Amino acid sequence: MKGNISHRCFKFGSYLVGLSMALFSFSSCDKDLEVGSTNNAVENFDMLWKVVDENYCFFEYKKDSIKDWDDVYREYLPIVKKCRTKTELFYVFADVLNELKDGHVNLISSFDVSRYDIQGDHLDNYDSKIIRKDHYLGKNYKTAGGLKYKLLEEGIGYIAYTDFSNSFTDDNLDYVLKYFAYADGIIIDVRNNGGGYADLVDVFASRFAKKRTLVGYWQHKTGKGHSDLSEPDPHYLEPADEDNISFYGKVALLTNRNCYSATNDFVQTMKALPNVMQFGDRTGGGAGMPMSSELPIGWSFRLSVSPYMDIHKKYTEFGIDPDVRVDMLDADAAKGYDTIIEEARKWIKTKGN
Amino acid sequence: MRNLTLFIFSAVLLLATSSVKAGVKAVGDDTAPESSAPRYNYSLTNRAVTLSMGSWRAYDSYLSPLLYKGSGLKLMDERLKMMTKNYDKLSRYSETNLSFASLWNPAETASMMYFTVEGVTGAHYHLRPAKNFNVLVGSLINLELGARYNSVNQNNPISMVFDANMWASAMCYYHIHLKNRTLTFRDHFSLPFVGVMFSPNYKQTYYEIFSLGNYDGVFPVTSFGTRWQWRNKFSFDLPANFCTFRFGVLAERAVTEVNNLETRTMNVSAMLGVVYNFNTFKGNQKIPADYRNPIE
Repeated sequence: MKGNISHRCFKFGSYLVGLSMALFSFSSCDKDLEVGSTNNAVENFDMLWKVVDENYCFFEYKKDSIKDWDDVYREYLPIVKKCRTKTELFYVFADVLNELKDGHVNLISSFDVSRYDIQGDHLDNYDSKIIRKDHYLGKNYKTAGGLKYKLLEEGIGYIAYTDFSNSFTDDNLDYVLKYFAYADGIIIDVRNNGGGYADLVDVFASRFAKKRTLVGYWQHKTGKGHSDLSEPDPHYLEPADEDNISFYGKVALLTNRNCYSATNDFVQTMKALPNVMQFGDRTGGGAGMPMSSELPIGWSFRLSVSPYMDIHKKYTEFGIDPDVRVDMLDADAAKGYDTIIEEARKWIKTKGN
Repeated sequence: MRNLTLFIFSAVLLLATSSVKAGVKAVGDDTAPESSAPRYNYSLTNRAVTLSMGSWRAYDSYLSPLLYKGSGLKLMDERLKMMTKNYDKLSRYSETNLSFASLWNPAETASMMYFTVEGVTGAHYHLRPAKNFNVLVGSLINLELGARYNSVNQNNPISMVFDANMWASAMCYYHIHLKNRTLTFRDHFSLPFVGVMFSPNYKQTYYEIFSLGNYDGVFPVTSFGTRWQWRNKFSFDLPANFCTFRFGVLAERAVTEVNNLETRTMNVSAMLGVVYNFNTFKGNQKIPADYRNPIE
């Protein structure tokens, strides 16, 4: 009897162990979960090309200004096949990505980060040495979070914000705007601000909005096709809470070609407000929110996937033109003056808009 | 339309389960005093607390086109109790589990952390086709919350896990009575058949969803076409002098394909834990004399 129980126990146990082993084997044999080779140049190139092909959001918009993506594959494949080292391959891939002419597209490895030169041959239109002169920011400026500010002579507020990654709070803005409560106008200098946290755009801009205002449209890729984009979704800027301090006077926004990404978004948002005037050079653009991806070789890369448009449903990927085009003049710079700031001061001191 | 039909089917199944429960209560309490089945004063809860450790794999096309591999842990608390004292066909099952996995990309230059909390509850009907052999079939509802975090991604570092599903569940127990102990083999297989999950649209940023408030299409209904998942727990309960140990293997696989995004997770783990039975005296229920109350 005892032997019989042991036999049944063994038999039943065997069935259940068999069932589990079968499930285990089924899981292990799943080929789509196999990890492929990591360093194969052509496989990495194929994946890079495919991920960009399926996800980049500006192919349709840039079809006249960039190479056809299939042609890029045909052009670079022979070059990739000749690559012998990782470093060589990295710079070939960087050239491939730069064909998109997009500052939001970077290849990131442990030894370098590739980037597209958004400024090109355009003027700097910014000199930090001049900004540090006493008649501008000087040495006695105040700092609230990432904002540097000072009340200039003639009662004009000046805010320098050079990095949207350098955050600020509502409390910071309250202090700044309270300080400028009796100013004739405010100059917001975002030149050389290459972007950062997009969340801060509305936080900052809402302080200058009297009412709910349409400031642009957002889209995102909905599928792998080049024109698979969602319907433009309107984006409204809400005025700041009543508890917070706002400023409805004249605001001059200073820009140059290095205003990119979140800064481009900020300029687009501010320009929808009636009391704001943009001075300086065209912005650098960067109107596609980027997302990251990666390659088997261990490098990551990012590319624009979610574009935004201005209030006329036009992409601002290649920048936003100023209302008043001003370049910095050497003659002014030699005297320690910034031509763009001076133009903005004149506008603020002029009665009316 | 197909999804809607599945939803209605699930709702009907759930209602049917509660009707059975209500009906059973009425029969057991009022209309079947002469039942030949033994009456029990107390219904024990069978509880198992286990920790599983093993190999994990995860793929999330929102975060990366690559498969991540690594290891993970799952802490699980399972409870099984008959719904009424005098009807031995229907039981309630509940489970809470916490999962954590640390995974790496093929080149090991980026890591992914995977964390979820899951709550499961439902009912089973007991078939008992043979002596010492119990087969349970039923339906479960689960709610799972968590996230996959990629260490190198910038605007898409997190893929949120939020899903609610109805599962079909089958369990079998086989008991072997030895001289002074009972060995128990158990297998629990379950798979979801309809539910809803959170998923961004194809390349929609979380900024657009949560900061700009564009929620269109981010809670798709899922069924067999869009979610294929199963979980199997095979275990063996071994009574020792001071407690009953549970040894087992946990295997689970989940694939989702919604909004042109694909996720795949797989986990095969060894399970170790303890099993015990307990009874709870609720509210004003008097504790019988043969139970010692430790606070008296």
